Amino acid sequence: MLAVNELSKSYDQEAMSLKDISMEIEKGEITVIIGPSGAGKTTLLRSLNQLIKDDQGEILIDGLDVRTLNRSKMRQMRRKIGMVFQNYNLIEPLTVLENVLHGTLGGKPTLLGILSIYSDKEQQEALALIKEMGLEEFAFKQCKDLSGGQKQRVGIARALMKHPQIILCDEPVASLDPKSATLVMDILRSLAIEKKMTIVVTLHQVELAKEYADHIIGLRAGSVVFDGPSSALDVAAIRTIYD
Amino acid sequence: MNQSAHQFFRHRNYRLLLLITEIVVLYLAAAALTGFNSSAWLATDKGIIWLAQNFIPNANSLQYMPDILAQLWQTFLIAVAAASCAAVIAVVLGMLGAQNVGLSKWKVGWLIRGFASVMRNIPIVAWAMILLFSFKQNELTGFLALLFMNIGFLTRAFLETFEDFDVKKMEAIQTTGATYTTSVVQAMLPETAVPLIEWLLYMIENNIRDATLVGLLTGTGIGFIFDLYFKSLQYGAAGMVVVSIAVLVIFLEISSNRIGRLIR
Ligand SMILES: Nc1ncnc2c1ncn2[C@@H]1O[C@H](COP(=O)(O)OP(=O)(O)OP(=O)(O)O)[C@@H](O)[C@H]1O
Ligand SMILES: [Mg+2]
Repeated sequence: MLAVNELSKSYDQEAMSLKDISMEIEKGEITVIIGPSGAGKTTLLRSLNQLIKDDQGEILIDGLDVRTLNRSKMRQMRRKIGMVFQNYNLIEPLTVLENVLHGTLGGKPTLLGILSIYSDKEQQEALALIKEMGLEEFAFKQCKDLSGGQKQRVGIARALMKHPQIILCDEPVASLDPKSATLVMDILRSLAIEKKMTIVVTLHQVELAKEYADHIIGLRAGSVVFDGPSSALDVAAIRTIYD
Repeated sequence: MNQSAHQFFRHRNYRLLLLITEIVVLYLAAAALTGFNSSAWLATDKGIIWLAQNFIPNANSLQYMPDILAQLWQTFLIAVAAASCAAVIAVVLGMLGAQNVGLSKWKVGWLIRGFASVMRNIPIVAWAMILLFSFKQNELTGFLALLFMNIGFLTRAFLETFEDFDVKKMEAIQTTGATYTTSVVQAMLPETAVPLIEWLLYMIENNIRDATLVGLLTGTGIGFIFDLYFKSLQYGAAGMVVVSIAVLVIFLEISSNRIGRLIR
């Protein structure tokens, strides 16, 4: 599904933020990337949909190297990849419905996008997703009035609107209380199981990673120091990642 | 510690004294250069008493109210129309000119900035006089004068509002595969809508003040009727015009505060 070969990245020519990263990510699995602060988790995740351009290596999605795509091919590729952010990245003055509908903008010509023209089908689908996320009563409320957990579910609904095959989540639960965090992780798990989506998540909490991940990748100072099923992540492995 | 605080305040007082001296010297120099007779200040009380006696509206001036209100309404409509048209143009120019979103390539941003500054800094009276040549004395002239000045003012204001926008907020929309222009419009406009509307309301208020001056020249609206009463020595009625303009502007100021609070 998604393969990374010898990816390296440096922001300032000196310190390497990613060093020769190679990994395979399988369809329908939750892959969790863990590692201490500054290990390169965000950098790696953002390279996958080219929000950060890298220096060397290959990123293959369905066999296609995303690093070589031109602008319109890049837009097509991005439509396959949903993204969920730690700080939600919603347009707060707009309603829940409008933010979810933003997920369809990738498939629209600029003029329709600027004028916010959404088809009936898109609107129905957005409302159905909002309902699925348990946010029915908030559909017409401004996002700034929601709680963190609710905002994150809007973020997920927006990512789902374009029927992505892959969802990238950078610290999706870092700003949430434990209960909301569990709710969000449960949603991600059901997407992997029921919709066969490929989910890549960066997390700070090892407990959550062990509980939800099918596959764990441990990063340390820009290198992969652990790569295996979550059952293989024992105390020794955690030591090599964090100490 | 105490010693240095003491020094700090003494130092500050010296600077204040210096500033006051500078202002006095500047005033004296300016008065000397222009031949302004400072004893004119002594006569201001007489002038004000004369104003009060003649311009305070009395019962008699109430009969002019219907005419005044009609002109005031017309002036209000022109002020709103000019500000709204200018706002539409300014949103587009502002987005093209803002450096952070960089919708326009090359040096278009500086061109727009320069254009806006020129439009804004030509005094409204000059706009009206220039336009009088081609459009003669009618409402269109007043409208255009306000429009041009408003385009300059709002373009600068909007452009700076847009430049305060954090482009990171567009990222989520860009990752959906949306085009860059779509991302800018869908993320930046909603996020900056409140300040944009506040600028627009301010512009309308300001237009009504300016419309008086413009109307004097173009022979329309509230400025025209003021001129009419004034020249026919109906000072009470002219005073009534002034009062009604002030009331309208204050009313607008209050309502735009209300609107501002509502949309926040
Ligand atoms: N925009 C940037 N410019 C320069 N250096 C950067 C930039 N972003 C990240 N880095 C550096 O790259 C390295 C990896 O950062 P990254 O944000 O990927 O770490 P992370 O694992 O996501 O950390 P955290 O857990 O704190 O989010 C760090 O050393 C960081 O200082
Ligand atoms: Mg990070």
